[in-house]
Amino acid sequence: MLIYTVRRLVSSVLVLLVASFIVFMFAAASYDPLKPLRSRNPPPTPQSLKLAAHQAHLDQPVLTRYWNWLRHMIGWDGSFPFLKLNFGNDVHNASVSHNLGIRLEVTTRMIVGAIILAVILAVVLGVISGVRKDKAFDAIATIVTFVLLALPTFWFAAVLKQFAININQHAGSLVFFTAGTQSFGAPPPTSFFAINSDQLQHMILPTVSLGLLTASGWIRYQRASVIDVLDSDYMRLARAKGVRNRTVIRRHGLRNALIPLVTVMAIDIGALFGGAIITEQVYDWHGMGEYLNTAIFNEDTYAVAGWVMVSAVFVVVFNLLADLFYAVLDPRIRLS
Amino acid sequence: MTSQQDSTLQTALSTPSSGEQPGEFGGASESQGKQAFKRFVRSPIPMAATIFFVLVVLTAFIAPYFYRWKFNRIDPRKDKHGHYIALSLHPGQKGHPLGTDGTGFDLLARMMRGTQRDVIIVLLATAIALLIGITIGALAGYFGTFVDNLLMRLVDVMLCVPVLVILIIVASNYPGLSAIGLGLLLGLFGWMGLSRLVRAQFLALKEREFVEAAHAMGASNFRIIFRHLIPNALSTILVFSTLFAAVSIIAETSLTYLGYGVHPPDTSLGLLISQGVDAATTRPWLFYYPGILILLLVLAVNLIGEGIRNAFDPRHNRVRD
Amino acid sequence: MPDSQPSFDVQTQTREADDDVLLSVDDLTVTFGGEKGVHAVRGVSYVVRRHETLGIVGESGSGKSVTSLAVMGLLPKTARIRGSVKFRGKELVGAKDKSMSAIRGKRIAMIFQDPMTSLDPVYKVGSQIVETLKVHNPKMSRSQMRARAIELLEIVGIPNAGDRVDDYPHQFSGGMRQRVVIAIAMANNPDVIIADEPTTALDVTVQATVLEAIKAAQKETGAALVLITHDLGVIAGMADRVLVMYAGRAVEIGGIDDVFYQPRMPYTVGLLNSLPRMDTDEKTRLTPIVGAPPSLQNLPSGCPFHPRCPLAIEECTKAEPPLVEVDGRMLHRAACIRSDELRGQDRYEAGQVFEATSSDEVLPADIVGGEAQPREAVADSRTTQQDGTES
Repeated sequence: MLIYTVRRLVSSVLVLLVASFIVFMFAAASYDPLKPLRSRNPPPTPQSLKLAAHQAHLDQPVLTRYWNWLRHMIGWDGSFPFLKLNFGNDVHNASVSHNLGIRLEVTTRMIVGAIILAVILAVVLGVISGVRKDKAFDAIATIVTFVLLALPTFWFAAVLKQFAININQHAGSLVFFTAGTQSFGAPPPTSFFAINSDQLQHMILPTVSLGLLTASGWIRYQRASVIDVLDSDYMRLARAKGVRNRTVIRRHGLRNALIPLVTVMAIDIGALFGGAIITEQVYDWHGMGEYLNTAIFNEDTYAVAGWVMVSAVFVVVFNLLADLFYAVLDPRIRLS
Repeated sequence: MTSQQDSTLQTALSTPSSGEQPGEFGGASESQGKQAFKRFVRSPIPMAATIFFVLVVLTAFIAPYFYRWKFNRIDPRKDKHGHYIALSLHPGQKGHPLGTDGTGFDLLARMMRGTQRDVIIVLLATAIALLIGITIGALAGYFGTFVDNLLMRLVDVMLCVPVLVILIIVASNYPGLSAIGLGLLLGLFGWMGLSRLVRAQFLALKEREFVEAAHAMGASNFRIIFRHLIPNALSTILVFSTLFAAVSIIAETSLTYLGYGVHPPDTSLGLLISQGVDAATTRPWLFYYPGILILLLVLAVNLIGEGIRNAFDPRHNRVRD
Repeated sequence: MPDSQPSFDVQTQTREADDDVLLSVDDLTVTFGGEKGVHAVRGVSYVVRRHETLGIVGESGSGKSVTSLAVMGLLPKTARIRGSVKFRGKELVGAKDKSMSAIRGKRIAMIFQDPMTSLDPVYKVGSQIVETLKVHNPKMSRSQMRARAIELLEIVGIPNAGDRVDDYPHQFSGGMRQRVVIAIAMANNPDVIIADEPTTALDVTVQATVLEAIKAAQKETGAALVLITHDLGVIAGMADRVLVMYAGRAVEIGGIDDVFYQPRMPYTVGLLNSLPRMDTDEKTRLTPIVGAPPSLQNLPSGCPFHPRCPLAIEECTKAEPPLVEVDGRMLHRAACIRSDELRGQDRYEAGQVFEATSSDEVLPADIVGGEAQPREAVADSRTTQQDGTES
């Protein structure tokens, strides 16, 4: 088990390295961060261009840039072994890691609520649908999830927005906030956990939007898992022992049916940190998604590379967690 | 592709197919594919979805020839003051059944054109994803060990970053993608899921006796892969295709919303609803009609996929002793 | 099995709540999917007495497993069950889940076919044994139950039971898992143990150990055993009485010696003759029964065996023969209108009719010791498909 974990860790780090290399190369090769500078009128002097190029490290060969970037990221620039996480500076000469940190916090706030909602919905609705297969509840839940699965992300978010606006109009007051993390002019949150009611109101729509969409896939998955498990021989044996049907479903069915879902959830959650781009855009939250969009627009190599690293780390970490959870929950994996 | 669609893939493909009676070894029973096809045709909901989908696609490709308005021509009629009369019309006004947008384009015409583009995009993307995914998955699953490790590490690297992000990064380098370009893009970066599934199937199927028998009869690796293993992975591949198609449609809308993808004057369904988002309150028809069309199309494709999965379900073959 | 006395016959004929009778199945019918669906069991009756072992034999699709699942009430809801199943006089068909649960595992226990999937993979083996103890003995303490679990594992022959009780199912081999299942079945000293193809999924060498474990369970609990299998060799070693099933019905029932040495239904004869013989010097061919079992949705008219039966005549297509006494003895019954013609022949003599119907080529001389023996080609339209049974 220990060896397994270590192997996965090493493998993950390798994967991250390769991914970072590819992205950095791609970005560095195709981006020209000096474009806005060059297209100015009157055109800048060659010296100022040279200076800007030097500041952006453009005068170094690509591989050297990559190596330096990597070095600074893991802190191997004199202050070794501290993990400095210095991703360099973006085109505005601001620290990439600093900005990413802020954006990450914003994004995390949004997804936490969505994840909790999605988990609850998936487990409850998925299990009931599976147990009462083909009955009324299942039919309705199936229709709803299929519709949710068919919705373009931002379209659904926009529909919710409209809905909220209508309610606001009828209620005569701002019940739902449709944009931003908090009302204009309000002080920013003091810490991650400090949430006031204003911010909560702003969180409702994005949470519901993202949560429902994420849940829909999970519900189908859980339903299939439950149906599979209910059909197994060990369920029948448990009943043959004299255990009541309800208890059998709870004790043997649930336990086995939830295992695969846990791993799927972990993987999907990992992807959400970088993948909530659309929802952030629709609701105007200044999170990771917007940062990437801007970075790409600015052809900002370091910002893009840094962003991808952070996002990739989350994906890889959660994938690892998924494998670990699976091993913890399923003795067959744990003890083989 | 957003996460929820990937999970659906998992769902749909969690039931393994039972490959029986490859034709080379005789056997009087119907091939699995035929049985499944019959079952599919008999199931009402998937058939309804198929008919709906086919009708919509046919209409989108054929009807524009007979339709009064073209997707790239604005209504040229002007009133006596010289103003265009067909701007932002409500559905049903002045001969525009679904209304017009702010520039004067007929919504229905643009919806049909959009559907055409989407169909091309999706077909292309699916074809490419199938080609690459099956090849890589087959190679990894069949040859195992070293090849498997190598290919799966490659897949891991590509999956490291959410696909949408990769698409954005790549697409940003090519402003104004055509439908073909978008299709290529989606296909080139969407095959990873399929390769994993095919690989898993092949790993399992490889151990079955009919493969051993084929080896013993002197069949080459190539032949075994194509004549025996791939047909047995058929259900997995088919279901993936439909789900991938559905996911591609939605991915196209996401990409277009963010600014990459098809540009005016050409249109796609994604572009229509992206433009419609701003008009949602004031000119809701521009927002809801295309959106509902997408919803119905994706729903239909998903239902078809579910129908295929159920048709291949080995449970139907089990006879209780 | 001693020859029956007439008075004994009368008693069993009435099938009343004879103190010895534990389980009484009467005209049991199980249908899946309505009238046009699969008639898995079509009127089966048998009786299980205290301490006796009843073997139920048949090919796949004969309905033998469905019968026992119906007794336990473990069929899916889509199954329509008619007829009567009485345990000690109490009717089980249609009983509520609560009352069935009180009987399952305590009075009637079951062993399933596939040991690899019978045990829940996420719970320890010990706790799965304890589960059945707990349900039926709520007053038992934890340590008592654990001790009992270890004891049970020892009885079925699992070494190091004290340590193994905390292991998970995947840490056991197939044969050992099946023994765990047997331990679970005997945990509460049931009156009847139903073993549904307990050795089918296992290697031959392992089969013996599992059968030993079943015998040990029987000995320890004094339970009656219903042993369902398609393997006649297994039956021969363990059963007192045998019930032969075909196409959802009982076609022969009797004491083990009766059925094995004096089979009176051609299907039984064919079954027995398809076994290889150890007692002859010369090599002989195996004699299969040609054809395959009928589809339960599309049964042939009359006797369902007639398409494959070498003794079939016109009249066999008219009606399904009922189970009638053989030689006037209640305890041995066969469902064949020509069963009297098999009287006096032992099974090998009777089996020769089957040899005649397999219209194969002349056997090469170097395989048969001596000269080639031409076989009488029987002019019929039957094909010789060496089709095995479905799994």
